[in-house]
Amino acid sequence: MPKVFIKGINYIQDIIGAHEFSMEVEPNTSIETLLKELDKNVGGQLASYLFDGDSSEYMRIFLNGRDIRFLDSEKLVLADGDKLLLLPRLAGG
Amino acid sequence: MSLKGGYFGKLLRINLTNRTSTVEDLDPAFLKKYVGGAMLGTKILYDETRPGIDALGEENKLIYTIGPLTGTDCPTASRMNIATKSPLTGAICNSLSGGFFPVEMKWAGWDVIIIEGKADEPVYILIKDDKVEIRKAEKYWGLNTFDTQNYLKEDLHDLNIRISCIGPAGENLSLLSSIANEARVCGRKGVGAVMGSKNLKAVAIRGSNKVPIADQEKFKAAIREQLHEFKESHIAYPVFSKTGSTCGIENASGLGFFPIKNWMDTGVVDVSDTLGSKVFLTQVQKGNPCYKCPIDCAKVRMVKKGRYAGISSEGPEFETVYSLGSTLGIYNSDFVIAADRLCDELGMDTIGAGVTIGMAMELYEKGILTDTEGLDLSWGNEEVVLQLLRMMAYKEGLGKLLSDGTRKFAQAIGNGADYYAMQVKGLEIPGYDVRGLKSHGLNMATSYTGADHNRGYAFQEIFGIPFPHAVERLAIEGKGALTKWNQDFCGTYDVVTLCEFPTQMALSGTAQRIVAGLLTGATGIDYTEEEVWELGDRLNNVCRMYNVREGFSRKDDYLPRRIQEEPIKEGLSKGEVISKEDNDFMLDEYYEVRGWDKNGIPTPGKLIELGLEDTIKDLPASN
Repeated sequence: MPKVFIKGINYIQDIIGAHEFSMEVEPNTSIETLLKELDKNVGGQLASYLFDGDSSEYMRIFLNGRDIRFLDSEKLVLADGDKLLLLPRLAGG
Repeated sequence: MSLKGGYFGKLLRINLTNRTSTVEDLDPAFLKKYVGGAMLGTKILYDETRPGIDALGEENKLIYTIGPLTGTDCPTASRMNIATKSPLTGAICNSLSGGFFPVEMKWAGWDVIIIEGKADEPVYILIKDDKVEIRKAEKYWGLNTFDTQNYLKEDLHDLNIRISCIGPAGENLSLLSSIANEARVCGRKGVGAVMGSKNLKAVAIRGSNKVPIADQEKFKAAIREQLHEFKESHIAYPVFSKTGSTCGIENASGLGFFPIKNWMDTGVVDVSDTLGSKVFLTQVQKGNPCYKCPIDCAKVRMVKKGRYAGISSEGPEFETVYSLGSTLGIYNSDFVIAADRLCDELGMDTIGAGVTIGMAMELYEKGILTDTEGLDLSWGNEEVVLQLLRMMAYKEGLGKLLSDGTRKFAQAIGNGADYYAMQVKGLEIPGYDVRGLKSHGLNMATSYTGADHNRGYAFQEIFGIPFPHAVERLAIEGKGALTKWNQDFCGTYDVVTLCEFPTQMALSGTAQRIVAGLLTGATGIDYTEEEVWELGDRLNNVCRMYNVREGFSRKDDYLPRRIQEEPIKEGLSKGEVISKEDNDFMLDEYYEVRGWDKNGIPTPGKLIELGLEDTIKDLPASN
């Protein structure tokens, strides 16, 4: 089964309980499916960031460094070795 | 037109050569057009100095400006700007700071303070409302910035008098020196050296006037809207109030654009666990907000154990974690706090100083810098960094070579060293590896002060905030228009002197409208949202014209060769560059949307559109 690497930053890290971990997924799993699975594992804590209204208001999701808002839909299916980065929306530097 | 509120309408001119001070009335129409902060200061400097002056000579001026909201009940408005010709870049310098000095300057009754000439001995200026004295500063010369302020406060029997001063770096004319007020700093472009060149140690100021407000109801309504937006933001209070600017470190490291080892190893090291916000959060002792700021991002941190135990600093900010940490191959938050404190004491810009030392470390590794007077400049050598910072402030030995920044250091070393100088227009690049952030790269290339993140912060790329629209950080197309938008957006705040931080995180979609309400309420002059946008555009054009008059053009709007030629090694931005072709493509797009010609020179039509026709005479002959 494809293995994907998930990294959470800042308070997303607190929710998923680790800075970085890997997960095996069924072939042809979409990012959305994986995130729903992940949400179940953390008792629904991710849902408010991901699924309420416009998720981009609160969170940015990157697949192999690319913002998924700019990827074609066929690229939103996970492959072996993919790196998923979950970033809360922040500001200031 | 008459002034109804927001201003006292007074300019204080202090001539150090003649030891005189005079008061001038400010024309209300002039204030309506140039408002305050960076634009008011630049315009006065433009009009009162000729091109080609020596930035460290008697002809240069230090111009303190605030804005119509400073000293009022408006939150986040305790900001000031110092305009001068930069001795580091030769371009216009606008250096901004928060704290309490800005409100005290306003309450003393001054919208502008111009300091000109040169004293024949060390002096400080004491201002109490309309009483101005130039006093001997022999006793304070040589003191660090904190002791200077403490001594003066004690001697003046006023612990709440506000002081803007230099440390040893400014006295010794280091081009990386800053001007401090408490632990807030006008940090960059060598402002401290300009103050030092005038034999001016400090300005102490105390005021007792109340700022008039033209329309209290309108003003209060705009403040309510501003505070409501702060409250609704999921970043401002929940995150930024706790961590300050360090909250961006994991974001930058995770996406692979936090520079490592003088940008040589960006992406190779993830600093989240060593220099991330969670680490710095454990070291917070207390907040220290600017006047009337409910967000309170400034954190005083202390090292609690180990080699640097007991050292405390207000900060470090995101930039300092890069410049005194990752770019030196140092991944120790305790050290960053200690080095941050040392820079503040010496009165040195943490970005410029750190980036210059990082360059020296790489040159040492590559065998280009061989004579180090026995110093081991290996990556990560904390002791040698502390030693070099002191040597730079006092211009001793190798420190003298480093004390004027990367560009001059490269010129002194030769042998291809310029490739490793991470600077634009002579100003060291802040902590964003722009190979992975194209608009931010274009901003660094075109910012009127040199590589300056705050003059056109690309928060869409860095943090994904979708205003004016969502942005793919790695795309080249469309970045000219976006960069103009960001520079005009940020420029507005530098003009009205509101802090940029909350505008990005809480007001990105509503800011210009709220600013229009604040300005209208405070001054009684009607400002529309469109006019507020125009302030940013006018600022960028008057600053560009200052630089054009000094000989700047397209040739000065390129990023360092490393960024153009050397792909990022690892991480989520791996393989990225901003090639010469990319740089050119973005410049063409940017100049067109700005209304500038192919050489980056504003067109007469653009200058007329912005009411800057008086600068047309300074366009190059070919225009």
